[in-house]
Amino acid sequence: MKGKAAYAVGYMFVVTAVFSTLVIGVARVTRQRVEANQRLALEKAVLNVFGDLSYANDAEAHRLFEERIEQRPDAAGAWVYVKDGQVAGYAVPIAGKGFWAPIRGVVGIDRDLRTITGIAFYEQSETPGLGARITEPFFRDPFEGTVLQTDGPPIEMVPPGSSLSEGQVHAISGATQTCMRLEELMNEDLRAWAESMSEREGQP
Amino acid sequence: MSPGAKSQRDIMLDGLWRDNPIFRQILGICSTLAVTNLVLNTFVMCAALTLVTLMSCLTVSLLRNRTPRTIRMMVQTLIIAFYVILVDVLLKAYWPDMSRSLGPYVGLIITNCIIMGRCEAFAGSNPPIPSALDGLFSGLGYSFILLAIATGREVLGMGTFLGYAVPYFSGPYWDQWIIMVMPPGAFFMLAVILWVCRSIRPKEKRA
Amino acid sequence: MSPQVKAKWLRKQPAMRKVLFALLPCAAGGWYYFGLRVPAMIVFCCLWGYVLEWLFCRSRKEPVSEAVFVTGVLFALVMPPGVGWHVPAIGMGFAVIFSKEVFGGFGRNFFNPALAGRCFVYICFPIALTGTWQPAAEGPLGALAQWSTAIGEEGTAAVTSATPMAHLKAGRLRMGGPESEGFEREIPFQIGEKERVAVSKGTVLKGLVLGRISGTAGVTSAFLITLGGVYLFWTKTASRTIILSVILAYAVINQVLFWFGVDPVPGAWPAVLGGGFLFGAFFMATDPVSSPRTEPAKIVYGILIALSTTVIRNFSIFNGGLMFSILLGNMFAPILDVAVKSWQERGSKPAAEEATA
Repeated sequence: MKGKAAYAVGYMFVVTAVFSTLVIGVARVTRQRVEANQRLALEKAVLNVFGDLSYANDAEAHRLFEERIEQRPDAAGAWVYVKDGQVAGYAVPIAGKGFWAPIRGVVGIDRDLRTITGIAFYEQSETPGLGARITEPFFRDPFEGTVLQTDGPPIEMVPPGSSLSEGQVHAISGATQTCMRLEELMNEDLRAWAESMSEREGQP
Repeated sequence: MSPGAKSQRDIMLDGLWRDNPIFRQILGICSTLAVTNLVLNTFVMCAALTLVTLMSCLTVSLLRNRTPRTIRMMVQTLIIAFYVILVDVLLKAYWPDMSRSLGPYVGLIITNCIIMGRCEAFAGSNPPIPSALDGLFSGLGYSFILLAIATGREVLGMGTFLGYAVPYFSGPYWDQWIIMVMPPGAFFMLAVILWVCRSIRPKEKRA
Repeated sequence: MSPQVKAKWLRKQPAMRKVLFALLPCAAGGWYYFGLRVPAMIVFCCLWGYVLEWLFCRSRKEPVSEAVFVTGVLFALVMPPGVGWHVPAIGMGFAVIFSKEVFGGFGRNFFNPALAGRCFVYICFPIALTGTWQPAAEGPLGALAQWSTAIGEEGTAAVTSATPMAHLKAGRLRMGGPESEGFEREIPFQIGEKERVAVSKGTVLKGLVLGRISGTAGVTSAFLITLGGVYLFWTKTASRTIILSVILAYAVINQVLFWFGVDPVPGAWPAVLGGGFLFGAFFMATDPVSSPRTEPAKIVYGILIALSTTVIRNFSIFNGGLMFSILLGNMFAPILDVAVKSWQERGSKPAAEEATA
């Protein structure tokens, strides 16, 4: 009886050791790739918000990001797009609560700190076919060229079909909740970023 | 092994139809709710599950004579978890987009009752080849039902199949059924498919 | 239930007949405010429901119950008046097949079929069901001679807007005191996302009572609903206990929250009169099949519905608060009955302290 128990414990030990070793081995081998993939999603989103940075494949995207995008202490948390030694734009990270789960993305801002150059998301799980359409070009493209407003909310989403004034884009019909939350989180993060940028400019 | 050993034909038929894990045993339906809104996701999920079931059954069967009965469940869980983590890690590394859209559900294959059920009911007391066959065909039986659900959901809910627009359903005359894209849609599709499959199946007595 | 007369095509149910009579004012109101399309939709829902139920009843060798017409009328009346024909087709299909026939037909369903069907299409087609409304017809003759009041060609394209209740909830419409100046005379049909319109409380209440506002086909007018509702109440066709407990509990909860200044609770009157609350209370919560059977359970059921309607209407993202609440209530109805019965059985023993239900 005692021998049986000892055998069971020993057997479990051996089996666990063998399988864990194998899993750990595979995980270690692929770890770099996994991390690179996670980073790549973010890098691509940052590149996508600047109209003139296009890439053909993942490797090129990564190379482009390494070359052109910098993280500078004076950008208040945004990524800086450097072109010919000059600042060409900022990619401001936005994050917050969506309808179902967090939405994370970046908003590209021109070096005038006011004009949007693009918007991209790298994490969202909104309702497919409704809220999830925020990742589609038909929704994202109109942001390009929109100027952030200084009085009132920087960006406003108005119902589809209504006329647009400066600083406004159309929401997605049927996805009112997603759009309201997106508007809120964008405005909050953009305003905070703009404030800390103007503070920096105030103290040379 | 025993005189009541099943023929290979029986094993295949049982897994695919007569003892189908979804509509006969009602096992593993958690994943039918979560991953069946797009055919492509479902396909990957089914492939992962079939692979894991096949390999787990094979491994459990190979070790069956050495494994003490008292700890067989622990060993089975360990083996299943091993293959699931393997699939998960490989997806993360080589197909990150798919891994992201499947989310935690790949990891949850571990808790899919079909695998545990097959290991415990069949692989634990049968030789490797029939066990592997049993695992494979149970996985396939699961897969074809799931793919049927996913097809219905994607076509009705988004008007696409594998991401390609389906004529009429994507057109202006079809109002897409949003509920089909959301988890409750899977309940209704599952119910309809259970209903259809059970009405097709001739009534027979099983022990 | 009264003795049923066996017929080949239809099971006659006098109680259901009375409910149909009680629904006439609402149906007429729908026609008057939104055009002929409303009665057409009612007929369509009833016929389609009958066909579907007949298919299932045939195999069970039962006649179709008259209740299917009640389901059809109720369902049509809570649709937006300009909704595309596929919506009632699918909704009635769900109502009859999935919430009634799969459970074994009339008397064995535990959700109100009309509401379950509405719930399905509500989630299925959110744009059609919550985003497109049409204005009520103007003038003394209303839309009696019109097919539909929808603005647009072919009479089907309705306008994107919201009902007054949705405007109130979103804060776009504000109610002031009755005598203040500078209010709009009427509730505007369309209010821009950022606009703020103030109307007097009297205007809102008048709109809700008479029903000349945008909303679902037959449920805009509290007066017409009450007309039918009182008939049901008077003839005891619908449970008086349920009607009273739902309405009173809802009024009390809303008024108390309003006194405490909880935003956006609008106070008892607009809450009870608006958004078809009375319609739900009179016609849907009282469905004899899906509501509890015992009196104490009916009271609890009513309070449960009122409470969760308040919560969902005011603090959630959905507008269909009453619909979800009644379905939730239906879900709890059987267990409430069980609880009441077991409590009554040990009633002889001293159990007064435990009577917290």
